[in-house]
Amino acid sequence: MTHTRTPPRRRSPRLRSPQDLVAGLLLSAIALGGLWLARDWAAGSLALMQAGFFPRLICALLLAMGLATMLRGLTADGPPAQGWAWRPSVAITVAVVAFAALLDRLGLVLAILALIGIGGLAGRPLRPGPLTALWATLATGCIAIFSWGLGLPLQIWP
Amino acid sequence: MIDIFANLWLGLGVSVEPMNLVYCFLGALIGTLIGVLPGIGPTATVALLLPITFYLPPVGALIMLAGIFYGAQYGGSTTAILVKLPGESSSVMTCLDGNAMARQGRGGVALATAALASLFAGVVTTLVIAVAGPPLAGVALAFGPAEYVALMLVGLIGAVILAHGSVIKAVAMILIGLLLSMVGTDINSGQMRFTFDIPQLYDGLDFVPLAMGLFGLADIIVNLEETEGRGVEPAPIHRLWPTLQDFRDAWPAALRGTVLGAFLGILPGGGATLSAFSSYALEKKMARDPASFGKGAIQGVAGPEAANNAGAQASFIPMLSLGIPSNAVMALMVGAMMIHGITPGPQIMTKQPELFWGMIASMLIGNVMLVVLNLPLIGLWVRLLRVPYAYLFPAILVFCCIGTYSLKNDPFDVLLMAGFGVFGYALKKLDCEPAPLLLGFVLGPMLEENLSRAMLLSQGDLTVFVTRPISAGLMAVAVGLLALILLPTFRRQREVAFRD
Repeated sequence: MTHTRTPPRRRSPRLRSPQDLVAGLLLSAIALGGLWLARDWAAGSLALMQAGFFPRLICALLLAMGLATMLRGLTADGPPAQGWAWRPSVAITVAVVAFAALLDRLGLVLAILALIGIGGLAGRPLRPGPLTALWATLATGCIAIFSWGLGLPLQIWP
Repeated sequence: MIDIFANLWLGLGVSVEPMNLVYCFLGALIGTLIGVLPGIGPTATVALLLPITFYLPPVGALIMLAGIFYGAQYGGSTTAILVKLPGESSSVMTCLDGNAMARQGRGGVALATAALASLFAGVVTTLVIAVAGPPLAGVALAFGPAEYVALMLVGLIGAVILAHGSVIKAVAMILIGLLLSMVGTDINSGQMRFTFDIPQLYDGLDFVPLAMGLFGLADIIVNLEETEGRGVEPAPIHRLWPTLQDFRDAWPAALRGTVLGAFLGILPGGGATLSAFSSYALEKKMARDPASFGKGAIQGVAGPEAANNAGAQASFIPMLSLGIPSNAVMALMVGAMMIHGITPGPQIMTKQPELFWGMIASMLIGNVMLVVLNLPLIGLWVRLLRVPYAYLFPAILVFCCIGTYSLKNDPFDVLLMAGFGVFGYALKKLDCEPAPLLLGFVLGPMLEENLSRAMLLSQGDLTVFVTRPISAGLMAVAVGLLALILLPTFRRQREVAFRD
């Protein structure tokens, strides 16, 4: 599994469809990465498929799709690459990662604070008052549903 | 015929057990509650609520999931009508005339029409499932690996037809789904595939972090980007009940929509979206005044709503009788069944009749409950739509994170979800739709296993797919669908349909 992602580029005058080109590059990169990872797995034959057969088949097809998309990006007019919304994407990702890192160490209540505090930066951040109210509501709700209701072994306090 | 009623009776007995009624009610309620929220479609709703059902007994879990699914569908229509935000492609058509009606102050009528049309379609389709399920399962018992491969190909190609935009990209999304499904230990050889020496990946990827990342997190990012964190303003509601004239206009459309939906939904890869699109097109053709469409024609709400509900429900048929999910939501249902140790397929009906028929009967009850629940509560849903997104999305975030964590009590899954969130956002930026990916992911292991078994049995002879009659028939359908996609006139029509 690869998380290779190519950030969309600014529109270049020579390219006819930068969006397709970037999509094609991403798909091809995933396919090539898959083929490389699968390089040592036995493929077997059609009659006796081994662990490497299906991955190679799928990666080869994916590579074909990636190249076709790239080709179209170069030859046919299409939409420009769209800008990447850094603020929401980074804030949401960091917030979720922080939650994952803090849950087992500081407990649910503080992990939720980190999650909604950092996550809130993705949009229009709430003022401290409403944020505290939201935090209290969500923490109580989660403890009630997941800890008491479903009996999940959650660490609640640090 | 008598068998069917006896079976339905057995099912009703299961589904009116008090706890199951409670699960059905809770499912429909929570499903609507989450489904109403702008930017959360049925797929995301079901994905978000899956973890709750892990702790229930299997029958209760499936009944609740089915309830969540109807609730989510209905909630999606509410959002589509009141704020013109379709949560999923199946309610795009409802948006057009439903929102036009809402802007004329007839939003309540549109909602009631949608609810009643869905109820009608749901009840009729449930009976269709009860009649068509068992014989189909009988056919399925004659299926060998070659037939399964052919059937899955039909389903995957169907998913391509229904995806927005480029066909090549939709195929690529399926392939990425298949690729992701290979992560983990290969069952036959013990070979570790794509695990990067991370122990948590040895058992494969779970589809909950995948689905929540692709549908939950990525949607939040897109919504924040598009509205810059502002909420959306719903249209006001004046009256609720349709007039007699409205009824007269709406019922034939609902009837036609139901028939279309029940038929198209059975096809693998068909389902709600295709049904809603076809119904809208049909109503526009049948109408005395086609120009009124898009300006608040009640037929344009009743037809597609009946069709998408019928289609959504009929897609349970291939799922329950063949074990093949035909769209992303059904893929989630299959995943949920597997978590409960139930393998969907023809054997369910004979081995666990109370589960199968209980679920079907609960569809009847769920549909009725949904209308009873929703008509009085419309005011509440409208108020929910007014909750500012600044409060809403942190709540969704918390729910995604805890839900994913609760799967195995492992923060690693939460990290995976964060990764898939970014990946899902990148896919949206590149105009690649993630729904086919999820379908590919769920079908992947089945496809690989059946393909290798079919080839083992035929000693590597590929002609087996066209010499066995059922397989040949399915392959013909697959080729036909493929030809349809490549046909220039159909391509243009498909593009127009999605642009509308």
